[in-house]
Amino acid sequence: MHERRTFRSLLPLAALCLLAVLPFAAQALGQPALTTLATRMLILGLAASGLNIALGMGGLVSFGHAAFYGIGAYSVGILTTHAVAGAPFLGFIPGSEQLVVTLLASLLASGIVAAIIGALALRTSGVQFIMITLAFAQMLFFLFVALKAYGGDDGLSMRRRNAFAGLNMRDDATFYYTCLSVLLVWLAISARLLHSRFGLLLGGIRQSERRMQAIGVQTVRLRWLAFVISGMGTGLAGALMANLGRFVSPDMMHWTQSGELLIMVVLGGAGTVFGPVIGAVALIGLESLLASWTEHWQIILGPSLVLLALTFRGGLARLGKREGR
Amino acid sequence: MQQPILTIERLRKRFGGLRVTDDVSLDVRENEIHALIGPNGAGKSTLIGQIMGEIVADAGTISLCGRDLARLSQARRVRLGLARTFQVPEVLGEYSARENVLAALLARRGGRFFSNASRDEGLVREAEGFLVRAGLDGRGDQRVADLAHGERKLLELAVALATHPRVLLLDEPMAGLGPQESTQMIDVLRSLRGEIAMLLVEHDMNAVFALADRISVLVYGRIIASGSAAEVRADPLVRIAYLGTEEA
Repeated sequence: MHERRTFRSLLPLAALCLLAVLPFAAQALGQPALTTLATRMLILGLAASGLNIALGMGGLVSFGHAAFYGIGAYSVGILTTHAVAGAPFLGFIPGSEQLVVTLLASLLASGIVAAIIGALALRTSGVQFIMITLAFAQMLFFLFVALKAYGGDDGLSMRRRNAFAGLNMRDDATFYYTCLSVLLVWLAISARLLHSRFGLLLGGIRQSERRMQAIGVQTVRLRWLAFVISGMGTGLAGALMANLGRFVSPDMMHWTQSGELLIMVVLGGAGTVFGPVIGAVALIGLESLLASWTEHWQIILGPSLVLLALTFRGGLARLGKREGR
Repeated sequence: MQQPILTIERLRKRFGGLRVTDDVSLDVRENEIHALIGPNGAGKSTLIGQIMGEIVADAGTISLCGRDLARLSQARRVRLGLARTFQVPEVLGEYSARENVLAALLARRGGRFFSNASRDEGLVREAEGFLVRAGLDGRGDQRVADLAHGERKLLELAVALATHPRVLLLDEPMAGLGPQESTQMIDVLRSLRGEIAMLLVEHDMNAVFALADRISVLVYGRIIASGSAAEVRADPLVRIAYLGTEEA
């Protein structure tokens, strides 16, 4: 039992070491594409981790988080386009190609959109909440499909990645480390949230809203706050993804993207700090593995997910932990 | 005579054609245990729901220390000094007993929203104190899902106390308890007498007679009798409407 515990506590450290040397290993193995794949995993891990604040901690099953993912991405795409064209967005917001600026803008934009959607959707609960978040995301999806100024359904391409502190962002390894750093900061914030007063009360609401109301907690306000923070995390991931592929399209807001994020969280372990990232790595890894193997990879992916869900109840992150929390 | 803290006047509530609260007037005085008895479906839980603000009354007033509670949210009412327990315990199953009490303490306390809660030693000690008061000493680390039914009932009481209430609304605290657990619950409630006023909704007549200073009888949403234990026992209406159905 004791050995097992030390093993578990060493696991994050081992994972961190592996992540730190990954671009070098990929280079040495003659597989540079591996770095890009790993970057994708990190970014979607961040997106799933954002969703986890609402889903895992708050028990809010949002089927519309692709909206925030897309808003974050479009924040980057639109600001970059305006920076290149030299004309301010909406006539007064200057464009920018600085990563710090575009990331902050994506946080702000996805936060505002989450605040509005949350304020309306949180009047409902259960299945209705799922459907309303889905509906809002689809509305935004069609809005951007129709928005010809920013590429419509063709999407927006960017000449180059946003600049950051004189680093060569064109280099995939450099961009990988940038994303890894953002993810680690976000995970540190998540861990802090989970054990904070906010996290404890939010978890309480998930378990019994009636109980929390009876001790004087304003449950709706707290869940709304969780929803906004959650949307911001996923928005940040969208901004990084826009930079990775130098491309933004409405597809990022499609409901299947929301579904994938949900799968990642549940697969990895809802309500845990590392679970969503593990889920993202597992899902994308499985996808690309199967896709390289056969054209009909989805036929295998579906049953594999069902099998995984049945085998690891509570998620991969809870593997080997004792029953319960 | 002691001042009433909680006053309910001419309260009415209908669910469709059903009058669940029909012109109810009732008060709870300082340090008093006021028992509310009545057959199933008499509207006792609905009354507690209305006092807490979970259910909105159709007419009538509820006031706490002279302050009208109408239009105040449940959170505000809790802050003003109302707390309740539930007939079927509403507890946070994934948390430990201590964390359940901590949640109530944290809800009271503003500020430092993102600070680590369970490492605040002062708070943890305070939580422990409430567990001891409810007779749950040494059970703080226990996951609530693993607690026995009786212990959950006691835990709810500890959680309610942690909100520092002036009036405690108890919805059948004895429901589902074994004889020993009932005795323990009665002891705990008795130890709170003189500190916190209570509105005790209860079916267990032993508990009612052991604890109550005054008893009111609610039948089909109406108060049909109110007074001391002896007065209520002697009331002919009560004998027919309440004790009669009990015997049958």
